Amino acid sequence: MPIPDVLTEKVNRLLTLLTCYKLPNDDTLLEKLLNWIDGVVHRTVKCKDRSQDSAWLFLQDISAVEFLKTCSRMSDSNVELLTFALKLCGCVVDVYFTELETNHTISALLQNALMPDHWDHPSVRCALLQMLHSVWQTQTGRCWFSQKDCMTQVKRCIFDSSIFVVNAAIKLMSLCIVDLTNDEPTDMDGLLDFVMQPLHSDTSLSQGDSNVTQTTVPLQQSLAVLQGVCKDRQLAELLLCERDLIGCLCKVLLLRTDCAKSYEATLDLISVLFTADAVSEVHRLHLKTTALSLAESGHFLAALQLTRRLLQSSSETYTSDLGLTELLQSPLKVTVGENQQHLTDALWEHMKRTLVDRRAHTQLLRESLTALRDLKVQQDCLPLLAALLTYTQKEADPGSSPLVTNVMGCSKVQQLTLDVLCRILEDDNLEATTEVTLQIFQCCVTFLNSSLTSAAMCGKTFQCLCLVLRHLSHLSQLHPAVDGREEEAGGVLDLLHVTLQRSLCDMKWETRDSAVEFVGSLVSQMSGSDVIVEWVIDRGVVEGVWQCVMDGESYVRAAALTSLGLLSEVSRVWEHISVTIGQNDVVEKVTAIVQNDTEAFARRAAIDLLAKLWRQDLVDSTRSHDIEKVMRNAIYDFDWEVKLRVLTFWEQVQGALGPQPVKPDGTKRGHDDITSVLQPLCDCGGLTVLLEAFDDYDKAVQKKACVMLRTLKTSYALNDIEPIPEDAKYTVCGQDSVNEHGVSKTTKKVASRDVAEFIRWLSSVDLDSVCVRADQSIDGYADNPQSLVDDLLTSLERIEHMTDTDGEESGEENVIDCY
Amino acid sequence: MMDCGMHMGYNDERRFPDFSYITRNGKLTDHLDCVIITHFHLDHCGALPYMSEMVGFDGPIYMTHPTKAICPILLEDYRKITVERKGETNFFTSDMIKSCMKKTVAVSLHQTVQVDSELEIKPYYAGHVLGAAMFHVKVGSQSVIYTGDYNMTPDRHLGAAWVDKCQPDLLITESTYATTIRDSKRCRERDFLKKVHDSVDKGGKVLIPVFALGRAQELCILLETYWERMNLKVPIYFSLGLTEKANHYYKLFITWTNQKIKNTFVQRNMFEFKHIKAFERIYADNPGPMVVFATPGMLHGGLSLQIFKKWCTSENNMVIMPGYCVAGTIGWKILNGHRKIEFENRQTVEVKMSVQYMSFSAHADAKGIMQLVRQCEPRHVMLVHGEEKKMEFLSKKIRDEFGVKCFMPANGETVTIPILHPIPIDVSLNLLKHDTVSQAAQDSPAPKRSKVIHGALVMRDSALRLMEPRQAMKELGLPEHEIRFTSTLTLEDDGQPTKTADKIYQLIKRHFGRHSIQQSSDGNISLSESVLVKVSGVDDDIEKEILVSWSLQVSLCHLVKLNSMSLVAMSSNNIGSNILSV
Repeated sequence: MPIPDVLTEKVNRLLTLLTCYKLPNDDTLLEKLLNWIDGVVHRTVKCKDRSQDSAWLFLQDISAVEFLKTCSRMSDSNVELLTFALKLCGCVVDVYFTELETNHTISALLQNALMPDHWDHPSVRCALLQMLHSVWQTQTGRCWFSQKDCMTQVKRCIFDSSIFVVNAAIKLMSLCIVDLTNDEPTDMDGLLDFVMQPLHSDTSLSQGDSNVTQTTVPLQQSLAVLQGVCKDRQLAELLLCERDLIGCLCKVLLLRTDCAKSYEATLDLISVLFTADAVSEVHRLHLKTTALSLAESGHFLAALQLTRRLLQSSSETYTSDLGLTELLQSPLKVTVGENQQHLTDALWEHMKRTLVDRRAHTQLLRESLTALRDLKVQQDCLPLLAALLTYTQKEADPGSSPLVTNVMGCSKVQQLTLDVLCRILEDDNLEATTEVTLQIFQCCVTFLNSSLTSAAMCGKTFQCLCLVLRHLSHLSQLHPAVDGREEEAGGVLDLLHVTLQRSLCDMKWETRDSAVEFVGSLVSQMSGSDVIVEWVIDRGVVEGVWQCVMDGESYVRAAALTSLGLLSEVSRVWEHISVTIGQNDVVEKVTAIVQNDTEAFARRAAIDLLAKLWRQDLVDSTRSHDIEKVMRNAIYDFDWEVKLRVLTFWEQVQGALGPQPVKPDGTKRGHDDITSVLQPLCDCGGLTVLLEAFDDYDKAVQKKACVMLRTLKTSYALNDIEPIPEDAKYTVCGQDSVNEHGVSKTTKKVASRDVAEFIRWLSSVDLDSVCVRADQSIDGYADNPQSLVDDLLTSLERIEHMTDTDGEESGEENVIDCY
Repeated sequence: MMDCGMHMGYNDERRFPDFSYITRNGKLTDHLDCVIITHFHLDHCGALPYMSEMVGFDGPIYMTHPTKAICPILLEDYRKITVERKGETNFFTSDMIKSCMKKTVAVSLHQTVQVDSELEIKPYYAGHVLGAAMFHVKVGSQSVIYTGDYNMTPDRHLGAAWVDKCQPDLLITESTYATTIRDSKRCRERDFLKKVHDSVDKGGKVLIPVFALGRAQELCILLETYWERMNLKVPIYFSLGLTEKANHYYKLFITWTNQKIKNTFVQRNMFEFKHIKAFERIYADNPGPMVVFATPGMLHGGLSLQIFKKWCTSENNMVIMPGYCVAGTIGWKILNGHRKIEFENRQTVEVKMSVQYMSFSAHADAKGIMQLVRQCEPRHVMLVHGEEKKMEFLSKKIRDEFGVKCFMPANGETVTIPILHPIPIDVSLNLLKHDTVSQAAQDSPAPKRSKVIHGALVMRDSALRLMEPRQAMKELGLPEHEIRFTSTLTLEDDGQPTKTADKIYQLIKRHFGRHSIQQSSDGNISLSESVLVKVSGVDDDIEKEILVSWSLQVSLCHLVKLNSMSLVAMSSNNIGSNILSV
């Protein structure tokens, strides 16, 4: 899109005013303007023929260079202006480097930023680094960068107190190292020496970051720079081979187990090296040895963290390296009393002793479970996890546990265990033994029946329960006649029934919500299982869900309605509902929710359910008409998602009622013919809904209506119909105000009842442009440069006016500035 | 994590906090014990579903009951506004809001919640909006108070903030109005009512864009009371659906309102308004005056913008903005004097209606902030949620008035605050008694003046006790050693040593009569059983040797300070004038 001349003038005025007056307090507009200018520069850099490029012409015409020159010479301390100037310089340096440096503007800005009064502000330091980053990226800028020894400032910023400044410095330093690799290897070596200083000094490593001097870069920053550098495979290999990076990192891992952040940063770097595919088998072995050394010296948490990264590097490693795998699983195995196979006895005993401490036990279990979850382990872990779940369940009831209750934060361990179990159980091809699945089932039920279970745990438990029942069903253990396990199957269902009923009546809405969602998921996933369907029907589960439709909490009502919808998809269940509750009652109740419920969540779910009942033809014709009536009125709802769902319903109605635009003999339908096919849609109120939605203030609703109308227009080739003249429209509609979409009140009134009028209106309205406008976001307008510049000018002109009239800047009425 | 808000000025990744500063790997659960949300404003809770469901946090989220009830409404509203913006693909859904709310734990005021074995939190009333709280967070003996937004002045429906004198190590306080003192609320209210009344008198329509819940209820009460008093018949409307909802929540959480509301509630519910009715869209086209409260509050979409478009061309009409508007919104533009507004369909409208700004936001002003600092007596203060220059000024005031360090870190800065760790020590009763008696004997101590107490610090089984050395030695089974100082002086005196001793005895008795002074049969003098004086010499020899001996303890207590240089040779005639200084 070409940039209008008026914008250039406004930007120039803005730049002039910025040098005179204080910048507005809210810097979001300036940030957005800078983003836009950056975009313009990028566009023009890519453009081949600049002479015709409006972006290039715009950049030539704005007085950015003059502005920057003025800013660089300002002696008074105006931090905000300097920050803006530095950022602007960073944006335009790609285009203007030569002009700027001819006047020594960039150098002056640099000097300005280095002045103590300015340097004190993190915003200035950050902006300077951004500018240097941009300068570095221009080829011609690198010489200047070196001449001015900018790297000294970058190094200085590595020690900064502001994390933004540190990150900007790290990013720039990484970039420099990568770029210097081929061009200036000596310089690169020098930088790498600086960066890797803390890795080479045992003293520095063991003393920690508190003893960092201004010449030794802190370890974390060093690792962060190396992370950026090692993304380049060539450099990664160079560091690994020539500078023994793995050796250094292993040393860090062994010496800095006390500092979680440094440790994590080291592991992140190892992950980066693996991702760059630079790590050889020798290096991998070195890391593995380090992991085992850590374990043997008692730093189990550190060992597990390293092990996880090693196993993550390759799925083959997980399956083939049994030692590492067992190390990862060792906290679980020790907890449940299993023996080890691939580790030393001494290590095993040491682990046992460590786990006596509650905190350590929890930490290690959590680390191990997190790793298993992220590694997406195979089903061979299932028995171990089931055993752990049983253990934590006993932990919650100390009286019954023969073991020392020493797992703190049990619920966190339980949550993680359930997470991992859910992942494994999602696999349809899982081969799990009955004992294991029953064990998991039992644990889930116990958790749900415990008053100590948190709401979040409850949700996860129900999720796990749903999955485990699938596998029980697959084993046919729930079928009474198989293998003589009738009692067991019956017992499972009984237990499930009691647990579910209790949860549906629980005091906490979160539990009721999870329970009712569980019913819907279960039936939906296991609709083919007769046992489950019969259980749902015979045990009053449906009635329980129906009760929840009248729950006091809107989330529960919504979940119950959704579950009811899922239940209705199973014909036997729907038959049961029709008999016990009655279709009339269902429709009436749900209709009442649409009309009267104060919460939008419930109304949305109610609309969905009614639409489903209508679509699946589950209600008789009288009820169908009632549903259509409800859907007509629901378009006036205040909630946009309710309205969207209403439109979706009418889209289905349209699809159902409207015949093909082309006759069976291949000819197009004529005007009168189209009128007659749209009449049913008109009679049931569909046209009213469309027109109301088209005029809605919610853009999403407007857009959907627009799309539906466009489909209608295209489908029935209404474009071919000659539109009525404009004054004729007024003659028909009478004197009436017409809104911007050409929908007047009278048009709406008439066209919604008169199909012919509707067709005439539809053929005349420009739906494409309405769609485009509806698609435009508010920000699409608000963020456009004209608007941004206008807003900034308004702020500055106000300040200018106040300064001229000696007025004070006041942020608020009726507020006295006391100081 | 204290609060988890969003930045309303941005619609890209900058609208949410950058959680990679906590960790780049995996969920936040391993790095955070809990999240605390102070109140339901989006700059404090707007990023919560993003954090818990998209970044990943499974731990507890603590907030008050009203906040838990109202948060989902505002989050849904925010979701809707964002859907109207482009680039919102990476945004939380309704289901995510529900899942997030399932992780929340509601807490009551002044309820101490044990998050784990070390960490406990306790909420205090903050005013500001319904359900807003300040949180006292404690780990061991260290504590922090985080205020969120608060108001030290009660208003029509909420009380004033209050906190215990808990002396936290750090008070993190908002400083929105760091250098301003609000004038009388009554003036602002009168001004507001006058403007509304004048406008409707002329037949104009008044639009008041508000957020669904929050200050809107305050304005409703204000208008209702005025309308009743002035017997006005002009209709006042509030967005349909939100009236009932707001009513419902304010009724439900009546205990969170101020005393007047609670007292009145028995007779009538102050939130059931006679003069304020539910609004329907078609009313906007009705002729005649009216007042409408419509959302959203910054005219950045929805019903309020729809109504604004219809009414802005008439000079008789008025729009009153009661709160902050983010830069770039229509609300901000008209407040900054834009008179031609271009809408998204390139339609430009000339704004002829009157535009007024009347701030009813309920933040503590400078006086209120100082009052809170005075109330809770923190050891350090940190200022947040304000502008740099104003914070600098307030920071100096706090340092000058309270003598505590005051920090105001910029976004992204780390501040390290050294805290003295108080170590609890039991003091033995014997030592206290002994010390009290001896200090009372010395002078009459001022009751509130701090005193020095000496004893032996004994650590046993991780418990520390301060006790008398003798008692400590006994408990520890250590033999006692006594260190004594001895000084020998020469004094010229005729006569027998025993006579010299008698003279010294009389002298000491005269000057130190309060102490226990004894003379043994062999002439040796003891003072308070700690100082010994022995005179030796030959009968005919004028020179006598005076041996003075005192214990280390006595030396420390300055009961006896023997300065041999001050021992004046006693003349035979004038022993009395020579003082054996003790």
